[in-house]
Amino acid sequence: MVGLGVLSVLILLATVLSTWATYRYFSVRDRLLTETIAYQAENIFRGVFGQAVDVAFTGSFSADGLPEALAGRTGQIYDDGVALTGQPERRRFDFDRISASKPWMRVATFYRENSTGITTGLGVKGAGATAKGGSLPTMVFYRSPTVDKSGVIFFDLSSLNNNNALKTPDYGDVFIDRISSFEIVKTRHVNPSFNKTTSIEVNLKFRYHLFAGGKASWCPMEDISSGASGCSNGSVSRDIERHFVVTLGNNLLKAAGSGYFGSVSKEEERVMGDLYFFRMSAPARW
Amino acid sequence: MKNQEGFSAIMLAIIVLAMIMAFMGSAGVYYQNLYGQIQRQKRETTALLVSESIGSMLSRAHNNYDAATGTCFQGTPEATPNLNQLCWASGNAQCVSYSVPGDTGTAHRLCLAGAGDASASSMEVVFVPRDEPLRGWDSVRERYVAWKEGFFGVVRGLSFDVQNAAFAQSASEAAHLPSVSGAPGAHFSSPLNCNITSGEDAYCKRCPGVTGSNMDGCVRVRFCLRPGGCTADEHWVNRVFGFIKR
Repeated sequence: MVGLGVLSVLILLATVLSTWATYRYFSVRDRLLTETIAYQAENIFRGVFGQAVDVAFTGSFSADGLPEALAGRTGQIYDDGVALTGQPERRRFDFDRISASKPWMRVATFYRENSTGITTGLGVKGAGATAKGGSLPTMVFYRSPTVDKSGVIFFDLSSLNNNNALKTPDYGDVFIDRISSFEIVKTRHVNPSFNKTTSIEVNLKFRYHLFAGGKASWCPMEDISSGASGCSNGSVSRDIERHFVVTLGNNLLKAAGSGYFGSVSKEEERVMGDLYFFRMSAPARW
Repeated sequence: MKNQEGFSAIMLAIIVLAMIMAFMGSAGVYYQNLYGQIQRQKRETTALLVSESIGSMLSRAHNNYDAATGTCFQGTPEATPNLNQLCWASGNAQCVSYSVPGDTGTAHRLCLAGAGDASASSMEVVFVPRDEPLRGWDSVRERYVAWKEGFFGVVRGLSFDVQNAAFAQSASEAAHLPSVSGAPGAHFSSPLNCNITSGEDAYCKRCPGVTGSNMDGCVRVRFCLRPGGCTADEHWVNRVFGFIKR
């Protein structure tokens, strides 16, 4: 009889422990995975936007963000068309609610420098800094979250510079998922005549769930707190915020041969003066 | 009878404990792998920031150089062969400070150490740690993780590419990914024709030494952020900086 009692207590204990361990396992795993994606997002933004070679500040936009076809080679980053209060040199978009954007948005389109500037392979010593340029078209798309699907940013990184084909996002592209909120604040060069973007401030929120019961929700916090339709199902989740500034160091302010304000200078000018960044090559395995 | 019940209870307890221990063990290994992924992403972030700082530093040094006379406006030229286009105002101007994301310790420094390779015919330089060891990363644990991954390679079933993390798991765990149907397209209507012999200077930069070179000079920089040091060429972070013609 005593043995049976002990047995029952042990089974109860094992059940409680197993349930708790499973809950903890999935919660911690989801948090670590989301943290990894959050750090990875910063690297992708720095590695892609940081290599942009020609991006305007203002442009023409549609309800879907950028127009489908961009004339010329000067790229654009979407904004809501209104300068920040008291800051005419700053504009932004803020997709912090499901209804804040269309389901699909064209967020950015520009050429980026893709060459490492190294001719004979990664890490080869004494190879010489001889290189040919490699500007490639880059398209960034955003899929806003829904109640049961996360927001996703797609980076379509082309491999051909002379291709006029229509680029569309898919999961073969570089993508960042688990997003519940996405904001970019862009800054114009201090000289408005240039009309070029010098940096972007990126604010991202990534969602992970605690698996404490309830259905997983990908509603942005703004929608949850305002009780938007379908966004109060009692899911237990947390958001990880990432905030960083990317300097568009390669962005072309003026090409060689053109001057401004009567200056005799006819030299090419970029955001970092005469400095040009080739793409960094990092170890495949750190 | 009582002995049998007691024995069964003890056996059950041992089995349950063994299951929990096995579960915790496998979870621990899995978490360690995820922790390693986070550390690798932090290193890449740091590498990007460090290389940007090095680029700014080199730009300042290059701005002190007068190409017309081949001398320095200010400072002194780098003694290393082929780096005489870089003029340094002081020794401190040859170092960059950086911190590790999430590390509250003091900043680290990387300083110019001169030519990266004695046989290099180009402007290639190496930056090495100064004053401070790579605390936080250069720990025993980090060295162990780096050694283990180097020794065993990818541990099957435990390591995975973060980009494909959602797909590496079960289909139900990728359920949060939306469909791409209805996605819009975008394109440039004036594609670029960038090749080694054509113009397109603003979009196609080429370092000295190749046909159609259109840069004043280029510097190739190498530095190491890997725990345990860089023992193979592919362990280094490499970046080339160009100076636009003036």
